[in-house]
Amino acid sequence: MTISTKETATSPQATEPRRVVFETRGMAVGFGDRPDVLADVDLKVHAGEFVALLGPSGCGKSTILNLAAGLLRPRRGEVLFDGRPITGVNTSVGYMTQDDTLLPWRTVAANVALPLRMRKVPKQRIQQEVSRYLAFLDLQHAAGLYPAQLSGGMRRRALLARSMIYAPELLLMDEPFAALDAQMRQQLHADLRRAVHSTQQTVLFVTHDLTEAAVLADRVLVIGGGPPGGVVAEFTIPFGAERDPATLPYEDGFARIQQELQEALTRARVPKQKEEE
Amino acid sequence: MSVSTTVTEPDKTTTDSAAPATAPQPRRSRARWRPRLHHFVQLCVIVVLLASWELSAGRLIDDLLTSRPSEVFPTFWSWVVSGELLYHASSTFKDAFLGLLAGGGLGLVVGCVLGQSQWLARVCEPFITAFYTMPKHALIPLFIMWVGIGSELRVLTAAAIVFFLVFYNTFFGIRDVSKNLVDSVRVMGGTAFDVLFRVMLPSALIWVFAALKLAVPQAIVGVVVAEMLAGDRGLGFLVAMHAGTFNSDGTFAAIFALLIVGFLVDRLMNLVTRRALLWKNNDTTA
Ligand SMILES: Nc1ncnc2c1ncn2[C@@H]1O[C@H](COP(=O)(O)OP(=O)(O)O)[C@@H](O)[C@H]1O
Ligand SMILES: [Mg+2]
Repeated sequence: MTISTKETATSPQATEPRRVVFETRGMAVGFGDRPDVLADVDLKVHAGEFVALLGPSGCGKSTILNLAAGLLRPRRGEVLFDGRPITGVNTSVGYMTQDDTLLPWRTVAANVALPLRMRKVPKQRIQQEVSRYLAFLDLQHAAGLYPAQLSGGMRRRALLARSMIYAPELLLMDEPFAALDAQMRQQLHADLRRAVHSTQQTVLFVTHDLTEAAVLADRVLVIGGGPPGGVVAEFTIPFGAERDPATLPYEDGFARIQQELQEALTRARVPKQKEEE
Repeated sequence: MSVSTTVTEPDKTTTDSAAPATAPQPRRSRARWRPRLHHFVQLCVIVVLLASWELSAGRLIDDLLTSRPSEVFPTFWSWVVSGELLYHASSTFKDAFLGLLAGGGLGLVVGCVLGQSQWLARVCEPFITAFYTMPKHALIPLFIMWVGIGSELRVLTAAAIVFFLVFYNTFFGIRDVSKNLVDSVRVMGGTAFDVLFRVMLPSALIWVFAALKLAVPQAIVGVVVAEMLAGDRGLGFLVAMHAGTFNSDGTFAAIFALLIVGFLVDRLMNLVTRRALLWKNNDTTA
């Protein structure tokens, strides 16, 4: 069983009933004939929420995103999207991975336009949307460049634009900024918060960096304790939607959240059986 | 011109070490050509070689065997003027081109089909490898038996050589396509059709162009060898005929023609590849 010690760093926000976009019930998943990587996982992502999955490397965070994207099936339990089991590739999500999945032979503008083109959106609409998103993510001047000509930060922003342009119901992000330097990462945190806030985008964000999780998310689920792992702890981060990720670490109470996340993360590294001994 | 028989991997300069964000435009350097020191040295080498050839011929070595520049170039020039060179060169080019089209087209299709299926690929792998390493020129006598010594022979030889180069690279190109790239396109709403035409084929094209850079010169080599073995026209025929009659002027003039052809084709392929893979040329190789 999962030791889902429900902790809240401060008093939980008034929770109005919201639509559940993504949900797993008693989900277990594994590969080949090896034992389960995750077991008995129950988690929910509500519409408009920014949820971070925090956990040590190899604990199964990416696996959860692959389940949500329909690229993987659970061994047991249910994985639901909009209340229905996911059966094929889930085209209602945007998926931004750590790898660079820009098509190198397409310019930035053509890459960002790709989802809309494949969805047969009228040409004129595509053009409007592309320029809107490029402008929003400060990429207008890079529209005609090929990915190889971009800096790491610009490539990340182009990927973000491409995964958001078709307004997916859920945006999956797998350590999207891990390869960037600290300053660039901070800039992108601000860009992401701004983009997410103005579009009311629902996000499921994977990271192993607790400060990144605390700075971005409304709610943090700590994954680990395996194998098989599960949700070890859950935190509600209270700073609201209009926060500034750059100054948030200096706010009152942030240090305490960091400390609690740190403790939970330490616990997540220890296999459950050992903990019980 | 690099003529190797191994599969040419496209230089996978990882795109991670990117050019600075300020890089304004794709680098289309139209810088004017101006002579440099190494051009001068190259010229000197040519002059020295030709001079020592000219001076030693008839003195140190029998000029019946080596001819001499002062006889080779007039012979070459007389072919240019009479149209003989154009006749033979165009025959060689035409056959090489047809072989390239047939072999390349077929190689592309078969490579795509086999590259799609893990199982088919596993079945075919040993056969492919065996055929790949076999020298295709050894098939020419068989081809003569099948199609005679006309133009068909030369086209078939070129096609056989090109087929394996293009097929092999397409096959591995398709299999090399990043699964992440494919998945990301499927999640964005891409169909199987989208995946093939927007991801698989463009990905494989890098490899196909790498193959073509080898295949085009190899097609010409195939045709020339076929011409030398059988037939009545082409640059290979010119070499073989003059050598057969101990006409060293003509032999060297024909070899000189092949030299020029090879050089020009290589330059042309560089140009074509660079144009087609513009997106890849972010200032990596000068
Ligand atoms: N395709 C796969 N085949 C086999 N094992 C896998 C595969 N993907 C992930 N795993 C295993 O599942 C575990 C969790 O992987 P992953 O979800 O990538 O972890 P995280 O993203 O948290 O670092 C790891 O132990 C990894 O070895
Ligand atoms: Mg991962």
